[in-house]
Amino acid sequence: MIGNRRELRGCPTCTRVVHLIVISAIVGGVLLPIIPLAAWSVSHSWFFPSILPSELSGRAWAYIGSPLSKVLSALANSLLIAGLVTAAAAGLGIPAGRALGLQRFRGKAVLEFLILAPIIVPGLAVIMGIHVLFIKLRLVDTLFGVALVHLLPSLPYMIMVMSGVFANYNVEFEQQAFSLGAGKIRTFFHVTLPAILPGVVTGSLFVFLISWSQYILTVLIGGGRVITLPVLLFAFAAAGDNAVTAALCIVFLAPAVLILVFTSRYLSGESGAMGGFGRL
Amino acid sequence: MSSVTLQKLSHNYTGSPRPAVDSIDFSIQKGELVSLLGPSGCGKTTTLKLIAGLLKPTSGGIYFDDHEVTDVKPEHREAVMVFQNYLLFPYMSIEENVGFGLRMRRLNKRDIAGQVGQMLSMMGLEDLKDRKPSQLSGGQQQRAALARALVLQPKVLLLDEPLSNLDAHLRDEMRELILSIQRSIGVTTIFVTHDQEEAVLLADRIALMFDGKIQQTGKSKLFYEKPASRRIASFFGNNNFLSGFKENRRVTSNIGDFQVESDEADGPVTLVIRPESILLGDRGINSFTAPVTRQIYMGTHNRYRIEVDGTEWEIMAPADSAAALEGKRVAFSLPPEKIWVIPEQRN
Repeated sequence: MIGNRRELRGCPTCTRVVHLIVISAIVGGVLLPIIPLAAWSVSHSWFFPSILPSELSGRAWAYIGSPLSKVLSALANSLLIAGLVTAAAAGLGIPAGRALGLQRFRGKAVLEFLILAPIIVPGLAVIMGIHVLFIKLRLVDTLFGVALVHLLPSLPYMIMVMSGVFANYNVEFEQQAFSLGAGKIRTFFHVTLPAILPGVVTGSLFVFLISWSQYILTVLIGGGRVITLPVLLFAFAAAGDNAVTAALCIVFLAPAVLILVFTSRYLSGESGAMGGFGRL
Repeated sequence: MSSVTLQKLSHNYTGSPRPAVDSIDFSIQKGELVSLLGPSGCGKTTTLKLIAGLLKPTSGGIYFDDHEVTDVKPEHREAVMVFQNYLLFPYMSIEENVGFGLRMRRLNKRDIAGQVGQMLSMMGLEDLKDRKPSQLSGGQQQRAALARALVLQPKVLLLDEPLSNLDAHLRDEMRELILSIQRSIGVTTIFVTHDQEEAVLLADRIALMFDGKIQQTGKSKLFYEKPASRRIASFFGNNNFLSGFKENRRVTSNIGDFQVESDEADGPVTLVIRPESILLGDRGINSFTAPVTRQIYMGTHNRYRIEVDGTEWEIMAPADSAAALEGKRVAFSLPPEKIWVIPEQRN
């Protein structure tokens, strides 16, 4: 890689200016929509044609912080569900991706298509059937049931990412570790995991965010008893309370942005984006 | 260190019609440096992985000294394999790489540091210990991979094509290094190569493999002078073959009768003659004439191509005997003691 990289020629100042413009545009693009949200969240009244809210108020934030609003418990539910879904997707997606990425077998193409099907087929098309099944299994109205149904649209992404990682993975590294005296478990943690970690992070990010923003599946399986942030958000948006909706939106955005910031180094080109060491 | 014995060892990859390793019987002495030599796809790396425990044999057994290790897991087998592409863990420093096996054995940090330091200095890698593998040259990576294996003091050291990824002058250096380490530590070493020169230069003994079977074993000289089959002779760069019929100590062929000193049974045979054994000129015995199609001056000697019985032979002769012979019909002689006779049914 290093040999292929060419030094950028031309005036260094121009390059720097271009960099600055591009970075500002990206940062601006991400931050700009948050500014009106922040303004809304602290406004008491804000009507056309005033540019800024005419009267400020801390009502929305106070409401969100109060135990009455259930926002904090919804936040906890959302985090718990997304966390469960991510862990389950990783637990299922890593071995599945490994099989798909490394092995050749009959019917592999069919299997790959079936795994992708939940992305293509709308969740609503199957959710009624699942609902009936979950009633029988007493999984409706439970947090666990909601987490389980969130796997439906998210797991395919994890498997897809992991099979890409494993297609670029050299199993001989594991054989080398065995030969040097490492057992299976230690080989996984010392050799396999570091190699696939960027992929696991990427896949987890997909899964977490898909679960995080799930509304319909949550409402149908959770039956209004499992309250997550999107459920609250829709309720307030429908009720037309702009200030609380805006404040909720910011709460809703925060974890996603935080996760993205903490995992960005795994997503950059320098760590090989998806990892896997590469087949030599 | 241990001796290694392979008993009727076979391995079939699933879905493959032919076994990759086909009922191999072979023994390696304690401290011996043995080469498994053969063309690619002959099963030599599979054999190495079977010995390392990375593949499970379909049938047969593997013994280290008198202990059967066929079902011992690779991590407990103490047969360490060094792969062809070194496989240094890319996110670990060289020092961490070399210490990997010791850490897996849960040695304490001080012992690990001591043993790793010693090994690094033995391999001339102390100055590179904090670098990542990607910052090392191929030769340095090879040395680090070797250090990582040797620091474990394995019973058996398994090397997969140890020299093939290196350029010419590094190969010499690495060969000397492997030889000197092997001599000083005395670890039983099996290495796989497709290059007969590499095998000859490095190994105490060679086991030649074709089609999953060991065809011939012995010191390197044997393969040049007494190849067991025509195919082995060609693998060792000798393509001077002549078909004939042996009766007592005479062989009748299309280009004349030849005296031989072979005790092989009478019948159809192939004669094999090394390029450097063929003499220019009529020496009164075993002589024949053939057209010289090409003469190449090589500095220390001349190389000739001659046409014999519809095939092309190669001859090496001292350069001082050189007149321009290309295009002429010239007399040659075959010293009877230099003719190797292979019965036809063995080919």
